[in-house]
Amino acid sequence: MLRSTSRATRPRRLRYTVPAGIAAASLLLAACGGGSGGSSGGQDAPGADALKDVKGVTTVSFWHAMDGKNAEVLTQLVNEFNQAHQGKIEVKSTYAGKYDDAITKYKASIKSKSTPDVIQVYDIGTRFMIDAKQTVSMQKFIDRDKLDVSDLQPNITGYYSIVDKLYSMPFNTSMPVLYYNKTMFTKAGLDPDKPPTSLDEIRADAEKLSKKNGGPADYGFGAAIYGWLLEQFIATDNQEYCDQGNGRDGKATKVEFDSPDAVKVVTWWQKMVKDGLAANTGRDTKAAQAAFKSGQLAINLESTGQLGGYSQAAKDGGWELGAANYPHITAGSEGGPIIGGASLWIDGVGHKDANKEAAWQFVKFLADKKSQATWHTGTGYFPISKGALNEPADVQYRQANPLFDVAVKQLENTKLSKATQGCLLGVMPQSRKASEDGLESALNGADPQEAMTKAAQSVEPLIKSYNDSTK
Amino acid sequence: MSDPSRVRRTGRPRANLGSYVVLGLLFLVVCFPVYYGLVGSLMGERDTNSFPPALWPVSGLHPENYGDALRIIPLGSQYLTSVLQTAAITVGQLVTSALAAYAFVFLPLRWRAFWFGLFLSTMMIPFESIIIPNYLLISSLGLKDTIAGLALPFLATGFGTFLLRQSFLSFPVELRDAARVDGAGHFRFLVSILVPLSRPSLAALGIWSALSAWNMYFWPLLATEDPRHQTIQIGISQLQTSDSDSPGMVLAGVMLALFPTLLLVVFGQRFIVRGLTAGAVK
Repeated sequence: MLRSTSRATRPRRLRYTVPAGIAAASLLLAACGGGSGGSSGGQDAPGADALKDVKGVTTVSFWHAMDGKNAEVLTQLVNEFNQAHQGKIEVKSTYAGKYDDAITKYKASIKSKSTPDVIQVYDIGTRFMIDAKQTVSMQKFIDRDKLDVSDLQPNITGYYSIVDKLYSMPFNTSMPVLYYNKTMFTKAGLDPDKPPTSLDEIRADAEKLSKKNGGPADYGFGAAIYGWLLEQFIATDNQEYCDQGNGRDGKATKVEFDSPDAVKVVTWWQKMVKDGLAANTGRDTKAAQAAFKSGQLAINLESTGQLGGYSQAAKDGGWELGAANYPHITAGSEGGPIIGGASLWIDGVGHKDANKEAAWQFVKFLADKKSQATWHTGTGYFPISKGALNEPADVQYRQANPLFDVAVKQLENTKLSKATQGCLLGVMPQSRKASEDGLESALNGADPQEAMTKAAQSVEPLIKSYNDSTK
Repeated sequence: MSDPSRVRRTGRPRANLGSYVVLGLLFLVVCFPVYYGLVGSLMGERDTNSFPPALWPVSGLHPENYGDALRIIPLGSQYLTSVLQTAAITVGQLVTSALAAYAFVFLPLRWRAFWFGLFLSTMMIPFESIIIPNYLLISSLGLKDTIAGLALPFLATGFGTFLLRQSFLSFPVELRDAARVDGAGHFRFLVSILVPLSRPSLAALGIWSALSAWNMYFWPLLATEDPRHQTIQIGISQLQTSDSDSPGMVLAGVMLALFPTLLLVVFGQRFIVRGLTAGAVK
């Protein structure tokens, strides 16, 4: 049952590979066009008075990838902004498909010189967005306005910054945490207030939790074969995922998810599955989520985005949910998780100063503590503004969802370093997929070191051709 | 040697029973997704997330799924866009394919086989590989966000020409000669005689074009910007969230999008079957 669900997603993957392929090929053209076509002035911030002399309404086109409930809350925020700027600025938001599709659509729009004023791009598209040379960095606006940005969480802006220069405004943000079923912990004779903090501890707990040893859960541990989780393990051990200081000192030339530390995780995971202590639910994150929600798994690794769904499932199923810091490879190692999610980019090349300025007003509005509180409480995403946590609505939300504070503390206690900023790589989506290939084949019995090395090597030519195309 | 007839007589009911069982099972397999779509669209998260999955709404009906779906996406106008796009593409493909096929069969063209081969070879170019040039063309023509922009790249099809050519080839020469004797020109013959008599093949092509146009995803995503001009397929993908799941709401959207396609199949099925086999078993 669990495995068949994962198979069901394959066609979807396939559907994206073709557009992704075209997009990769088109990058070369896009990059050339960007250099020769427009003046470099396109990437500068406009004067602060760019909107002053404009008569009529400035329309800001905004492409996003928010779906379901998140789309509803985003529309609400957009409406709020439009109402406050009636007669001056109007934001027109468009769903541009899921993240992968949205960036493909964006790449096509670069070539037809019809980019939107603001676009939301996922975390792993950051390097591409910088290299595409289409946008005005946030830092230029911040410096121009001498804006005090101390309200923004430094551990979140860190991801989107290179050498203290903020390129895009973080928006929807999530973090990985460890979820566990407290009721099962009690049943298995474990202390429900002492969640595991390292690989060894997860294994020790899973021994008691798994059905195989008479425990209450089918499998003590289970998480999706999801490259993001592997990236997190590497970061919590304060290791870098790719070279050149995680792609922040220069363009990365290779990925290092075959390092001894990463292989240690894979070996541990493989052994857990082999010994019947962990479920192999495949790549589909939904399969692992469903298994945890229905009480087949006792420990699960997932994003804070799942908190709402998990809490509801626990309430429906009559069990108590626990959340804890993302585990370390070895207990006590320095480092912490990397944030995930997406950020907002303001397009400059080919856009009027008035549009750039209006776009900046909109982005500033979304990053504001009030909007962030609405966003956080409506969607469960992490607020990027420190002040949002003190907004009455937010305080109330966290009283109702006390587990969210685990994530807040985890973020605040993470020391910002190149490792925890995360790797910037032009072909990060492909690299993540490759690491999943490696992990999957290891879980199916291949030698962990060999599988991961092979996977890491498969990314190298992609990185090389990307780097060559963006010189 | 009088046995064979008896064997056949006793064997037939059993064989019938067997084929009914097989057909019945296939029927269930085919119908299950539709059934589950319908039932699931009325389920709350508690049922859709349970394990093993609930096969009917155990903990109450949730018709509000439909309302939720309609609140997140402008389903009405997206529906209209989809219908208009589908209609434009279907009509366009029927017209261009019929005219092209007519030329290949009834006009004494030089190098006919070569041109036809060239036509067929377009079937081997995946649309994805020409999607970017198409996009650039459509956006430079200023047709982004319009029905014309959605339909234009799909108005002609190699497959449709091929399908109709095969069907026209089997058209009785006597009828054409009779029409010509009666004074019908090319156009008159095409419109009054050939097309009415080739209805099954045209219907088959029409249904095939309509289904593929309705299910298109990537092109409409590129070619549209206003949410109200997006097609329903994009709307449905927007209902599905990666972070939290409410399959009930997604299924509600799916059911709303599925309905017209389903009607098309129910009423057009006999044409599909007849038309697709028409050329093959000449």
